[in-house]
Amino acid sequence: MFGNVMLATLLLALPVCLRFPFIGFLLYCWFDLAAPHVVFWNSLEFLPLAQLIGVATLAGVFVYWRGPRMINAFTVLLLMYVVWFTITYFQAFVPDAAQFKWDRSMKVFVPLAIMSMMLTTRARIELVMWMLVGVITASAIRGAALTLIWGGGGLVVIGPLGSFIEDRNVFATVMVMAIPLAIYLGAHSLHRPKAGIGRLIAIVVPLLILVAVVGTFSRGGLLALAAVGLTAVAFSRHKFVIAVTVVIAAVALIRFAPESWIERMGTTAEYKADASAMGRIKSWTFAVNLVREHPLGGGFAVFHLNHVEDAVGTEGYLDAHSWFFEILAEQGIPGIVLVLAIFLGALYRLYRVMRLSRASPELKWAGSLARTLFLAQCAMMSGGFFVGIGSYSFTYLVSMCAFSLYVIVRKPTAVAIGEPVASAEGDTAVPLASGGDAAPRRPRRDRRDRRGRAVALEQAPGSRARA
Amino acid sequence: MLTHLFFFLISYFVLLTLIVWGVKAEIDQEKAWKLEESDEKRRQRAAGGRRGRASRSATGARMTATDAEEGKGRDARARRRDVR
Repeated sequence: MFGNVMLATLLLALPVCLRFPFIGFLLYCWFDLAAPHVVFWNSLEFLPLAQLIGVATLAGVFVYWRGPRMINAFTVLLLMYVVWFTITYFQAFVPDAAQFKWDRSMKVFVPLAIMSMMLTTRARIELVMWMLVGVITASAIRGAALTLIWGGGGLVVIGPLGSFIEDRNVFATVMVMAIPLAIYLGAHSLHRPKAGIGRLIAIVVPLLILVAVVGTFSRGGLLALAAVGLTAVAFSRHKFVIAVTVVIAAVALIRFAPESWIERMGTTAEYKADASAMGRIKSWTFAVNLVREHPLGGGFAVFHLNHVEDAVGTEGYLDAHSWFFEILAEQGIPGIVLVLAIFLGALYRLYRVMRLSRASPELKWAGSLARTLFLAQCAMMSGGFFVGIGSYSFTYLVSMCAFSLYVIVRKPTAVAIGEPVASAEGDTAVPLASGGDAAPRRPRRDRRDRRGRAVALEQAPGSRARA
Repeated sequence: MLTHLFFFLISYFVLLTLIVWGVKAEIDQEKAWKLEESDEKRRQRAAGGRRGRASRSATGARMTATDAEEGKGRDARARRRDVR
């Protein structure tokens, strides 16, 4: 029944995707992360629903896309990366496996590149964030419940089966990314239902996510949490309050976390005795050696050549276990340079927005948003360093928002986007993307003289207005 | 089963919320763009009108700025006559 209801809703949403292509992209990303076709209706897997959403959205782009197109640095870098990984795909060392991954990557990166051109307003950036937080929260509530009832565990608290976030390390990383996003959206979003509910979201959702992160028993998740905590203290305007909150959270974590969790986290320092950690180091060594011999990379799925034999004698391969080494080995030095340009470029732009927002009270929202995205990006880069998430959509979503935010803030005409500002007439200008916070109002262009006759406001100096 | 039900309910709620908020935001956005477009057109018309008024002859006959520059119209003819 769940599947049928979800399926009917998504089919009914197809015209919406056609009419409003941005919502189509949003649903496409939601579909990618939540994987409802696997979770809710196994029997209907034959229906290419993601493909249908994609086709309707692309048709909408050509037919109904209105408004400005914003080709920013992210779009260019991402498209360059798409071209590069297509070149390496043709020279892949493991062609069969590479084809599958190339196909998946194209389905992720090309829609992201088009979507980045449509992220022209604060309201749209926040919708992307809501989508990410919504998907994560749905899984995190389940994870938190399982943690509180059964104490969690790496095989219990995982993402939706069959989705990109199924693996517990990936799931933990994404959840840590979602913590600052949830706090921002609950406190400042244009799409908040009510202030009280917003505050509730800002408090409850991060706590639930924190419990679920502990429940995953992921050491990468713990490192991501530490990175977020330290970055929050370093970049926050209320350093003391944030520092005290982080310390209280850390003490509470140690006090209430299960013994098994503390034992597992303790093995992080003694990595030489841990097979999992040593496996990662072997994978990274493989990647470095491969790039030394082949600086242009080995193409997608090159880690299939990283053979390993377990204790029983079964042959397999060790995965990358790091976005950095995954891209380095697969796409070579040009690929990693492009991806680092995206990630570090996003961090630089967010830092610039934080600096710009200090001088202007109108950009206060942008400063808060930039700090939030900065934390999420740090969480992704630190937690993701221990998981192979180089070709997943959520890895690039935060960077996409960061680049768009920078363009919005830098454009003088776009400062007003989403924020009502005083115009020259002393009236309130149209909020270009009110996003439900305030309906757009027509600015007053005409004034009346004493006799009630219309007087044009924009007159040439010295000319007399005529009624 | 219970966790699955909760997961479904929350996912479904998220999906519906995204669609509703998204449609609302997009409609507001389109309204704002339409307003901007109409304002821009009005500004252009107003600018054209000023040029028209500046070159209007004594009888009130409308004339474009280009016509005035080219010396067409009654005033221009009168000026030329005076010069002669």
